[in-house]
Amino acid sequence: MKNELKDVLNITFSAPEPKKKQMFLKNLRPSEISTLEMLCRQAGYIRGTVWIFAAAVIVFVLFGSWKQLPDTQELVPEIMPFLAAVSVLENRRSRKYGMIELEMVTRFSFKSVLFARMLIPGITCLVILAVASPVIAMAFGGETLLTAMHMLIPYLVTMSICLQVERSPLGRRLEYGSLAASALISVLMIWIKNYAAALVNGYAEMIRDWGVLIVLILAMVTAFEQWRTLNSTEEPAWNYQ
Amino acid sequence: MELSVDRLSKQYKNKIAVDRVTFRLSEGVTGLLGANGAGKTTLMRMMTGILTPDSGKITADGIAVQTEEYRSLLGYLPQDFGYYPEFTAREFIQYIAALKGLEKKHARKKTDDLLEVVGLSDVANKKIKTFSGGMKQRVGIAQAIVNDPRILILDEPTAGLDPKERVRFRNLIAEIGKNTIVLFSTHIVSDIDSIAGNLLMMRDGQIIYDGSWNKEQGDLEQFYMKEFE
Repeated sequence: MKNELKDVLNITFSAPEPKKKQMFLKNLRPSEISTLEMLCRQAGYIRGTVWIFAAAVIVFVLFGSWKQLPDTQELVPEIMPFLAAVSVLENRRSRKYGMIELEMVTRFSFKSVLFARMLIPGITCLVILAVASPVIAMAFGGETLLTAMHMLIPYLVTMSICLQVERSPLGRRLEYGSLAASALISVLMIWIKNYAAALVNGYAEMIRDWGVLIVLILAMVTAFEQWRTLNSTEEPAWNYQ
Repeated sequence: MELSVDRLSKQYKNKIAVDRVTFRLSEGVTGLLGANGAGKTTLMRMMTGILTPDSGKITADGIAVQTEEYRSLLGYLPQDFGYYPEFTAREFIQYIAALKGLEKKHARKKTDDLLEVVGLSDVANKKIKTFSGGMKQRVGIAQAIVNDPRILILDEPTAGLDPKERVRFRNLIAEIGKNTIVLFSTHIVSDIDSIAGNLLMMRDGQIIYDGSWNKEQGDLEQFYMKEFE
């Protein structure tokens, strides 16, 4: 009886049409991702070259240490500037491909994208250091911390120089300015190693005594350069056109 | 929702691109008409937060343009936009969806729906660099609306579209405009003639007309031509 009554009521009094249904649905915002999740997802958009280069360094370290290749210990710090340059080159992708305008108006703005592109290769470098330093130290004898500092110093120096290069008007025009800067640093390291023994000894001594302080200062300089790069993305992003 | 632009100005060296512009927009399509160099793009870039005005204020229901909250309400199609060459149409829209903070599953579904709406489902996995101008523009439209924006800003969106695509696009915008603030910039009157309930006209950085337009007022094209003579 109850069901029959319901049916009759349904037929007699039809339900009113929904009012402003679309507006209501539009106001229901979909669940949004957190900043951390966004950073993780950005890792998927980092160019393959960064990962390939990072993997190549690890493979070289493991293979060289396993086979006791005599140059492994010296070559790794000379490769690190290139890793820094490849990471910095990630920063210019938006500008190169004209994506800045679109990336600036999204919820996670262009600054967040750029931050992710700095942070992810930075973490990758730390992973490389964490793997390579103890492996090299064990294979060739020496302290893990000292080995790590020998690798980290050229990386940080190149990183801060490349960040400055990328912000400069000339660096904006030169697509591979950062790579050129890293090659220069690497060549300089090789030249010093081969032709200035006194400098090499002095450098090794300096790292032994002041390495931690030097790394800290360079890390601060690099962080400052990254901060400046992040802050240079706002208004001037439009002035390049 | 109400989008309020209050005494907005922007100057480039010795040229005033936007000069003390004030208006309010509510749901519906508003056409922004003006000749090249009238200040339309500068105005729109300020309304999206890309450019900082020299003076003035932009708010949407009290939410300031510089905030993340404002950007989460926004959809934008710039006059010229780039794309990463390795992206397919699907990847591009999903990338923008990720930046707009859409959860992965929702973004995937929304992307598929939008590719259908803009007629690119069959080429969704093809690289954008292989697309024609019109197809790229359709990808641009899809990315602009992927977050169901409450404010949609379109800068010359019909550029590069063929006549059939233009009609299709106009219908889509008219539909979106039913419950979204749409600002549609163009210098082609016929683009907005039939869909814009409201009209803004710009000349030399200033708004010279702000209001609705109906057929009784005469031919819009003629009025427009007269204003810009």
